[in-house]
Amino acid sequence: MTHNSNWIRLLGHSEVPTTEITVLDSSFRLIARAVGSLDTALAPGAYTIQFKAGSSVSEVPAILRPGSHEVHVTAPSFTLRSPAPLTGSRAGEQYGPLARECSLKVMSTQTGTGGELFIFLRNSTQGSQATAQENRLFAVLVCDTHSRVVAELSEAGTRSQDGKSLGCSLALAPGTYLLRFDGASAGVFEQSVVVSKGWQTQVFASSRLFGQSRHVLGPNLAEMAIFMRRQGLGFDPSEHETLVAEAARQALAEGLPVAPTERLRASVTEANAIRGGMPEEQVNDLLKLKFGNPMFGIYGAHLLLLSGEPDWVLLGEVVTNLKSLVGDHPDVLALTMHPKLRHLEQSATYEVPPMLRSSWRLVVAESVQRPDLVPLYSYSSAVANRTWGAGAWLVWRPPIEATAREEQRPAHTPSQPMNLNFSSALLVLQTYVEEHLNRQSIGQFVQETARNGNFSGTERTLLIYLAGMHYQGWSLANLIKSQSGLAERFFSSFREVMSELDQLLKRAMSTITAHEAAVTPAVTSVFNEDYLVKALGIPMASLHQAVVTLSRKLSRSAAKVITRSPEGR
Amino acid sequence: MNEKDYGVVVGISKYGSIKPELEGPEKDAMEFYNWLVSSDGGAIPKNNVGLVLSSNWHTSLPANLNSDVYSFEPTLTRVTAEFAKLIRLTVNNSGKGVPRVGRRLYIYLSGHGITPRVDPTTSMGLSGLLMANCMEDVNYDHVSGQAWAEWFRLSHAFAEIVLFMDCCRTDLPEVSPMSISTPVVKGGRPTEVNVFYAWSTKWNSLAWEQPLGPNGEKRSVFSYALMEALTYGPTDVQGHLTPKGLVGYLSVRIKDLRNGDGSQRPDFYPPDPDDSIVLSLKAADPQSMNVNITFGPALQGQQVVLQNGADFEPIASHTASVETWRLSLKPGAYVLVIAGADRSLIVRPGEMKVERYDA
Repeated sequence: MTHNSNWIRLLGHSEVPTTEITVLDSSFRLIARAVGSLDTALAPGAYTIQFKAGSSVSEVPAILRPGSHEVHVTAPSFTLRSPAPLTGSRAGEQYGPLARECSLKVMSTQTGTGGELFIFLRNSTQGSQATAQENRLFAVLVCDTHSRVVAELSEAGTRSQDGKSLGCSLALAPGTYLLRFDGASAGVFEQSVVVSKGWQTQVFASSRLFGQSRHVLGPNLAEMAIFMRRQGLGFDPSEHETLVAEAARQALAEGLPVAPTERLRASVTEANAIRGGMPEEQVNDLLKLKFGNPMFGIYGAHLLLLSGEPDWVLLGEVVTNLKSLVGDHPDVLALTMHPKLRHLEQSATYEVPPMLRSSWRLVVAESVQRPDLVPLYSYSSAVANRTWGAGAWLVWRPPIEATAREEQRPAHTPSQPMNLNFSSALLVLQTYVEEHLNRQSIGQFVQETARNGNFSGTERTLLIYLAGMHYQGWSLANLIKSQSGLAERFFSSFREVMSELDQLLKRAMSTITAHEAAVTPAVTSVFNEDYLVKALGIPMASLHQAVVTLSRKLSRSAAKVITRSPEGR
Repeated sequence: MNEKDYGVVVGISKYGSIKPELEGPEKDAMEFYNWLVSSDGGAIPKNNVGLVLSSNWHTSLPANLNSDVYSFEPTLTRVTAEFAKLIRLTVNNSGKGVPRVGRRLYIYLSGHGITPRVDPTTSMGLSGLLMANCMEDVNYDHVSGQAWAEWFRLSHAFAEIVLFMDCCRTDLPEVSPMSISTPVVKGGRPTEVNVFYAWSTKWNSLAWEQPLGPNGEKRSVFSYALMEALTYGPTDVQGHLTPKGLVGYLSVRIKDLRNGDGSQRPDFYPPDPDDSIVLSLKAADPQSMNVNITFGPALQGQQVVLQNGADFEPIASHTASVETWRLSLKPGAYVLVIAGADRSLIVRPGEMKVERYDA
């Protein structure tokens, strides 16, 4: 589109900085896009401006007459569907005042003081079956990182008059805690919540049905709304910043590239102004007064990472400010695991997973470089293969035994991974998979592996993944080969097929002199540590351990077969 | 005919165990296929299009009567076979110039879908179409349209690649992504390949099917709107339908078909495409909509002029009265000038417009 002096400036604005703004011309062709605010010049005409936030979409017309100087359009007010009882929603009318009251009534616990955790649960599921299970919905435990119960919400909380919601505010020592819901036959679910010094972490969950037959009512952990407010202020359902933070959380849950860049930039500028004019000891207090909901900054920083090529300087400054506000919050530290933010890195270990799924991805990816980031036998390591569901939050099914993490560690084993070569151990696994797929179908192999009690969960995941990759590669190579008319005979070995395919490709590539193609993760080797860690979502130390241990198990198993064979003759 | 264009079209309606049962994918895939091979549409020779449908294997058998779910068709191997044909062409032509296979590749995939564990900062588009033999918690064989599209881009097999993925994109982080283990054919200039990828819904969201059209058949909302757009979507000044027109049309139409529910929001790459890929040279004129305009008492007696939203050319004039002003207008944005003041009139595709103007 060529700019013309007759063009007219169009300015669009939304109170929610993660709003996606789309400009369509008079025949609904896409003309421009922006996030939060729009400033563009367009030819005269009638336009339609779409504002999208969460599941809300609204359209506003804009008429740009020749000769106009500029035209302003503003997004209508958004009402977000949220687990938090925000003003403007039906839940806000019904439960907003109770939530505020409960958030201000803080109960002491044995863990100490310094921070607060406010939890508000609400039955949003229709039907008598859900009503009958409300006691189960509220049976949520707050545990410390050693799985010791700190509070049982059904006992500690205050229920609404209609019995459909419950709020509870706890004084806690700063740190990470676990929310645990026992869904009986549907399983147990957990998630981390972080309490920071001087802040109240506010957690809101609506309900959902769990289990294959959807029969167990429980809190919808994956879709929780989480905010942070300075201690003593409580939850304010009408506060605009709460709505803004919730919209950012929903955008992160949906993976939308709608980073609130301008809002974050303005915040950084304000924070730098405070830093420039104040003694250091007063800076943090003033920052806390100025920025009332650090969760917006945390969501915003993670959204910046989603935006393709973010402003790394801005992101670095956001991280620095967040550290000043909330200290060593695991979801802030996780941002420094990104290769481009390593200069901000502090020593960190993740004995317990962070809150956000996007943080966990960063941590797992970085564990390739720093295996001690997620220590072997830590709780994080134990649940890495047990993550569950979707959304912004990392939810998992904890190991069935309460002491699983202790039982994992053999008494005679050092805490470091066994000193065996990863590649050789992986080759043992590949050979095992290949041999099995030569004599049984992939379906049989997957089902047998899933039932095999000698394998740990991580080992099963690894074997099934390798089998899938072998099968896919084998099928593809066979298809290409059969279509090329080179031979119709059955290939008994995946390697043989791959070897012929490799030769074919090498011959083809030897004639090529043009530029090298870029390579994406989707097509690079699937059998290196880095790729396997990311593909399986298992931290490096655990993956290494699983590969080595499994290779030993399989080698022993193969040795037994060989030893027994003569007797069978 | 566009002899140098190719396509892979997959519609899976019948699954061994994945619920709910679908009615739309096969019909939608057939409609897209018919558009691809028609002279008014993609104009591709039939031999250049691989078509994989549930009914190739299951004509009347109810899905769950087959006890061996793992052998339910089409499987990964069946679908992969269609891509393998194009891989072979790419490899065979690797020593020749680029693009190695043809001008354009279309990929259309419709059925149940998921997003496996991916890094959202780099590879969120790797959502996959589930294969018919999937089993919940056991087997999630899937075909990622973007992974294949990227394979052909990186191998510079085509000059243009167009992908439509019509399936849910539920995030299942416990499922590992299925990578393509065949190495790309290097030596091309993949950055010169023009691509346009469209997903029926955003990451970790559902895509819906519902009764649509004059017969009330269950159809996918995305594919229904896509076929409307390909047939008579908004064109540029040269009369070409390009991704800009498609993105705008789908953004408006899908929300309308979902009665304003914005939870199914189509997703595009690049998000702000240009006009370099011409999807249709001769899109038909869109169907005109009935528009009924009424005026409040204060406006009655005033002269009203209806202007085209593109250039403010007058289209019709009217003296406001108690009578309804009945018009037939093509979808788009218009301007009503009433007593010297501009008022907006937006006519949406597929629905009758009733608008009232007051002072």
